[in-house]
Amino acid sequence: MQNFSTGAAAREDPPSTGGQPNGGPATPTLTVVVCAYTLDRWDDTSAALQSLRDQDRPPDQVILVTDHNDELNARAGEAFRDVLVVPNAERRGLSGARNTGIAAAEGTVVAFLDDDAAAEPDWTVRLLEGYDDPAVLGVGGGITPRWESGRPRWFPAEFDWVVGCSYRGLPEQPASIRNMIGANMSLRHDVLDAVGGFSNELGRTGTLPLGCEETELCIRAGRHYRDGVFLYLPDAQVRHHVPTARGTWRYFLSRCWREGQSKAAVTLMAGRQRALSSERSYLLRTVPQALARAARPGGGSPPLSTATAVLLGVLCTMLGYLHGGVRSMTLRQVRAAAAGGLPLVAALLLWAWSLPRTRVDDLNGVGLAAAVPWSYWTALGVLVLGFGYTLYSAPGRSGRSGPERTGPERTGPERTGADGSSPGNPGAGLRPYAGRPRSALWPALYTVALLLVQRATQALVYNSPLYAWAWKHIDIIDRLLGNGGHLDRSNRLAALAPYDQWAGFFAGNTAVIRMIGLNGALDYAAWAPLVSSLLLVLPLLLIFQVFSRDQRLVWTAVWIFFLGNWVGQDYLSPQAFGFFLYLGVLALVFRNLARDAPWGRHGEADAGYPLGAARRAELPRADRRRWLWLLVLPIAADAASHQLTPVVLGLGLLVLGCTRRYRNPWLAVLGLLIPAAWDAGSALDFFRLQLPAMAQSFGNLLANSQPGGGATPTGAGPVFVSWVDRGLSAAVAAAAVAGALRHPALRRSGLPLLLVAVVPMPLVVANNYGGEMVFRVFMFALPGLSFFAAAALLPRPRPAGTPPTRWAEVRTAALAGGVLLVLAAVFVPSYTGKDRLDYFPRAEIRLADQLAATAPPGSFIVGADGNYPDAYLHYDQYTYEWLTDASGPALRSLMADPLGYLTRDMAWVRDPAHAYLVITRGQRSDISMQGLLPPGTVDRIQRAVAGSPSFRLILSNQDGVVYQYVPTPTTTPSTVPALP
Amino acid sequence: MSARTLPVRVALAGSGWAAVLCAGYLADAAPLRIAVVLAFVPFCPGYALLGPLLPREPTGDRSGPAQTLLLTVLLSLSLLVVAATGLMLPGWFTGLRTLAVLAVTTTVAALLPVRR
Repeated sequence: MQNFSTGAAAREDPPSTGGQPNGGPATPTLTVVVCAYTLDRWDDTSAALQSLRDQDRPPDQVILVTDHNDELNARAGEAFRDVLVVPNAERRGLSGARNTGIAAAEGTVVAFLDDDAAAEPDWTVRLLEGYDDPAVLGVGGGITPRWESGRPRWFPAEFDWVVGCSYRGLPEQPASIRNMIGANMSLRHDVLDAVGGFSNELGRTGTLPLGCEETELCIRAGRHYRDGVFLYLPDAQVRHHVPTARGTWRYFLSRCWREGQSKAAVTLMAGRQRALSSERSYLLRTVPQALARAARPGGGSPPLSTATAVLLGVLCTMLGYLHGGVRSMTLRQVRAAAAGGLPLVAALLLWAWSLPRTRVDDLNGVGLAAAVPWSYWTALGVLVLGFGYTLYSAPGRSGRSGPERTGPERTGPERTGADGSSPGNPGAGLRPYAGRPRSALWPALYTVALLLVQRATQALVYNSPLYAWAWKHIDIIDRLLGNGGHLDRSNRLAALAPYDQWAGFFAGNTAVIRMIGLNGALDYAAWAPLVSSLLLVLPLLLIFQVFSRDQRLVWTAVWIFFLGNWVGQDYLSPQAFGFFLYLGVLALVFRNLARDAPWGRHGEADAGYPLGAARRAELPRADRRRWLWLLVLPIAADAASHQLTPVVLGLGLLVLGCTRRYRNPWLAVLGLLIPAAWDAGSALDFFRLQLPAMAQSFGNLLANSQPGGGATPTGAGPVFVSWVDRGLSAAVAAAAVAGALRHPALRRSGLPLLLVAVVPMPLVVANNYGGEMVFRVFMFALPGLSFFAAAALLPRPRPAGTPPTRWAEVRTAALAGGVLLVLAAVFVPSYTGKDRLDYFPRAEIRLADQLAATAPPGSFIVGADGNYPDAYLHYDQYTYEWLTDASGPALRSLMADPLGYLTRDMAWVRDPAHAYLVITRGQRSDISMQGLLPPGTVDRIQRAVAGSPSFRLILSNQDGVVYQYVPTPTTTPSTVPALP
Repeated sequence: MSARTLPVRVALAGSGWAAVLCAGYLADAAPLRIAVVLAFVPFCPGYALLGPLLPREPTGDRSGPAQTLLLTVLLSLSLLVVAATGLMLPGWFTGLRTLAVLAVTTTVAALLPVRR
């Protein structure tokens, strides 16, 4: 509680924060403090004091503080009898001198004038006018430089702060500002008493221009009196003497450097948000204007040197800031940075060390998991532990109680009262988690590192993209590159027709490749898993933050998402891009399209639940309409890019639009109509052909929910992997159920998230989607599942007044760390377990490319199956058939007599075009690991073909063979004995 | 959006044309061409569109930078896909035309008055 010494007795004392100082008396009294440290400026000091005597309204008291200079003190005491001359009683430096002046000041307003500045005659009158408004904490005025030897022509007016003067970019009319400039400022004495004067940590010592002490004081005062303002009155002028030495490049740059250092110190004391708010707008607004002005002809300044000064000045200030930031770190901060940074660096080094030591030429049934060295696993473990430490240790309590933490209500337009509390202050009985990390920097860095370790390893250890599907997508883009982007929306391309009917993703890739001038998508496809995963971080964060203010919950959920997302839909694919659009749209809807719904029985308590979040406030109608417009573009891109994702998004928006908190019929209309319009236009042929089959399979739960389209993991490795990956999914789902049960408040407030997680599940009944529907549904549900699974790891907050014991915190951290460790370990075989069939060595790629170079248009290509690279190179010219597609009588015929089947029963026999049979390593792995054909079948086929005159071996290397079919009239069915 | 000053808007309006020039005149996969195109395509069109389209932030809202970044990338990539597909459907597609469509959109959006 501050004590307003004058005129405040009759008023009620306002609270120390959120209030304002009571207005002074009707006529404030003014003390002017001038600080001097050297005899060298005697003339300037005399002029400064004389300008005060010449004021229209002379100050009530003038104090000259001499800064640890006895000679100056003695001479001034004799020369200026009308002035109170006092020596600095505090530490040497401007701050101490000013504080000494404040202590001696008797006026209700204390103004500060530099010893080398002279005030205009109306200075005091104008300053004091500013105090008519009781909300005004302080008033600063304009400072004009008085250059001793003329203004250097290159010196940019935007940088006049370098010589302590008002610079271009400051308001030209009376305005509220964050901080005043030391050479011409004044504050209420009460304010100085309440916030405690200038900081001795900052401030010039002698000529060392390490300033910013006034900035820090103003920020401190502004925080103390939330409604208080600092007024800048440009007309309250002083003239500041600028000696010749300050008009040099050397001084200019060194002053910029020191300003940066000071800013770093202010940041440390006042928090980054406040300390740099003005600087941000200065950088973004004033500096570009300065450059533009410098470039303008006839601007009066040499363009090149002025622009150079602006750029070098900015650079020096930034470097000084960085340097100051490092230099002014306390030991504890150094230790905290080391604790956060060391595991990160160690993990990345270990990971990098593992890469060249990963043997990929002989992968087995558990894929990369058995090929990486111990260091990879260690890297993963260190990463998880480091992440857990930075997230779950409690810097909020062990460190400085950071005033910059503005609490959970800082992240969105949440429904809060003016005092920052929720209506009725619900949940006041529960204790929020004290140890929130100070910034999201560490968790974010750890997340990026996790994605590198998870999803860049394959790009680095394999020399080609994984997945036959990725190769197919590359081939589709290649075709569009080759034919000038001509789309064929009929069904002529058979199984590949949908890629032209939903061509958005491929069109975008084709465009970028053309813009850059690459050869094709092969140049970057291997990095798609990393990029598409990085894209998901922001939408996930934004979604989770809508439902929780607890950073531990939010970031743990992000990690569970990435550790649980083993389904491998992150490669170069429309669904990966569609998923980004899906989450992005959901994030924007959750954040900006909330409605004011009745609170309900638990609503207020739920909003105050420490793990929950305050409700989003309803935006004005016009703004919500604008948000709807903003969503049109991503929804349209989604509709043009993928079959399934827009359906899931549309259904999600429909269900959301039906809830009271997101009721919005237009949302559902947009989400459903745009994809419907696309499907009716571009993709109509597809539905004409496919609708009967889709209707047939609709409702066939057993068949549709079967993953893998008839594939059965075969062999110890694949069976193990399939159990592990199913176990991973089940564990995340089970944890999500546990989290929802453990935190009823989260369950209620997170209902919208729960709904969009559940919405896709009925799709399993509707369609099989090539045996992948179960995986896709899991992926769409995963964001919601991750959130509640993360909640399961956090205890219910305790009632207020019972701080969690150290042991309870350790238990929470240990549980979370342990679970994340297990998930991280299980993720590796789940995600990379099929690499033996998904990775294609160079020889296999070369074989397929040679085939495409050999086979003329109209050829017929038969493969054991489609799992080989570049299978679809020039696919618009070929017809394909995979032996694994055979079923029923055809399969029995193939098994009984492979050669007979190939030479009698297949379509190529009736069509005498060029025909080829391809058998590769990747096909064999696929067929054996997934059990697509009975064991030994491929070998039998190959031996039968090799012994037949109807097939001629045209290509062969260590990874595969290609036979050309040359029908001869004498071909007779032969019988090939089964292999042992 | 408070920091969207005239120089920023002019730079934004010109960014697409710089990319068009690089794509049109520099050699295939030249580093400068890659850098300029990749600096433009995923960011500038979306950021430009936010000027006239983004609803003003409610007082005291700081959902700020993260949401703005998401919107920037989301809108830019969506616009790329819509533009490329839109040009392919009638058979007018080339990479340069797609880039030009993005550049025109960016320029127009950057010069439209910023909604407050």
